[in-house]
Amino acid sequence: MVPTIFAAIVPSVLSTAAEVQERTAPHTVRLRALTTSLVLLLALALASCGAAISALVAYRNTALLVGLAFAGAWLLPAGAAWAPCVLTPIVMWLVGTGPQGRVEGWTLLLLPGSVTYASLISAAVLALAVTGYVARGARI
Amino acid sequence: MNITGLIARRSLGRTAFPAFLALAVLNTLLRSMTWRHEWMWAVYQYNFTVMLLGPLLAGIAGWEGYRLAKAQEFLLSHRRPIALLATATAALWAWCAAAFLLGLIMVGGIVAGSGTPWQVGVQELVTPVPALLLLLAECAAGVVAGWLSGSKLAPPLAAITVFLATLLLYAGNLSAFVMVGGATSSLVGLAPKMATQTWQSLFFVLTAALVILAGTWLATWYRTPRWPVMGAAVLATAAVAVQLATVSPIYLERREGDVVCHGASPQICLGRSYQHFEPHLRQALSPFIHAIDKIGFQAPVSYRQDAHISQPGTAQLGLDTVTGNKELLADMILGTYYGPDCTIEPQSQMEKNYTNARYYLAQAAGIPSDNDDPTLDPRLVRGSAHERTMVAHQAFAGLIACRG
Repeated sequence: MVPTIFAAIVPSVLSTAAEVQERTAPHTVRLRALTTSLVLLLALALASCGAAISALVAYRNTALLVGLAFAGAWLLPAGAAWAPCVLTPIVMWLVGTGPQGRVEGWTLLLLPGSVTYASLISAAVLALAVTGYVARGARI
Repeated sequence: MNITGLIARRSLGRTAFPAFLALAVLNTLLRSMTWRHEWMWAVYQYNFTVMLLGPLLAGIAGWEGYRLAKAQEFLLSHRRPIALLATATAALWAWCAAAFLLGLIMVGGIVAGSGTPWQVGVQELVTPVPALLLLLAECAAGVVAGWLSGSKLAPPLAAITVFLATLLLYAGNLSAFVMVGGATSSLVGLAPKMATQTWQSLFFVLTAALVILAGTWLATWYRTPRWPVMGAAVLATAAVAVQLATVSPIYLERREGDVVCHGASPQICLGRSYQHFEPHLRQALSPFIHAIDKIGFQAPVSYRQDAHISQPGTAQLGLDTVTGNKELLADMILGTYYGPDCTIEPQSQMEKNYTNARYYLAQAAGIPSDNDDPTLDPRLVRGSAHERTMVAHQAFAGLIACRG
């Protein structure tokens, strides 16, 4: 839940970095890259705090949720930018779990760290979303 | 300018409607549909969708409130702040409720498409009401959170807060404040308590009203509504909350007439919506009963879907056995002989008894069986008719002895 709360505020941070003064700055891409670096550094620190249980799962889940937050800011209107990173864990947890702790294959956040494709997809989502945001900025 | 009309027409709910609908549909399609033979179970289980819709609605409501907050001075100049917040809440909720009801119609289609007879009464029709009103309260809370905070953080935090609060209340002693549906097993012979549903509905409506009043009250520096109105709203909500906090944590009650019995030898008692399985089930039971009679024991005389447990003479029909699955019927019948307290240890005499008895029933009903099972008595496979009867008799006697 902690990575979700962190990811939930990321779209607001990104949209603040895209307000009028920032949009008229001479190097907007540089500003967005700086914002992204700060957010990713904070995310890394946060994931490290939760690494006592399973380092890989903490990094993977934080990467996926922060990636979804960047994707929301990049692709969705500001009013809905928070939705992917907040709703994804809720849906995965409520819909993708079964009796005796069984989880569906699509619940990436709930899979053990040994599942390679979950880590690959999370990394791909983060990379794609960050690239999209840095190149195009947040939707206002 | 008609501000309230404008707010209603430009509600974010219209934009968010596809998301509401997608969530309701996915929550139904991605889950097991074991409820498809029961109208009440289907409706009650569908109500669980509010666990997903609630956070999304609260988040979008938070953004709606934030939008209104940006124009707070202008909007308050019209001196109708209650109507304003109430309209914003009602418009958004109406879109979410429409998506919820469309999803419910889809669930109804699945139940009807499964061959379940049409048996929708007042209880089925009113069961979604508390769920819809819970959404109303969550929507009002989201709108007011955005309206009062004027922050872009209100939407995600409202969504997360609603989810966590629902989850914590669900798991705790105060589940009556959020428990509007969700059942993992059949509701044959049961229905949600109408009294609890009524208190819940009242509480959710009062909470929504109180939250809107509070939103107005705080934004206008206590001018509107006046103190007595606010005090009365708090008292009414608190009184209903106390009542709700003290209701029994058992939300279901016996539904008279929901289980109908047929025949006498054996008697088969099924939920009303399962009646069409009765002829097929009776036919499927016939070879088992005949085989048990043949070895000198009495087969269960009653097969009940509302039985709490299988016991001598009465078998508990489950969702799989009611449709005539022969393998599970064999297990169910054997369960009436040895009971739930008897353990079957590997290599034990009880295991041999169970294997022999089950093989005997399987052969009688034409169920494919493993002839090479090392625990199986070879006389059941290759012995004379007399030997087979004798071994089966001993096996059943062993099962009964295990019950004690």
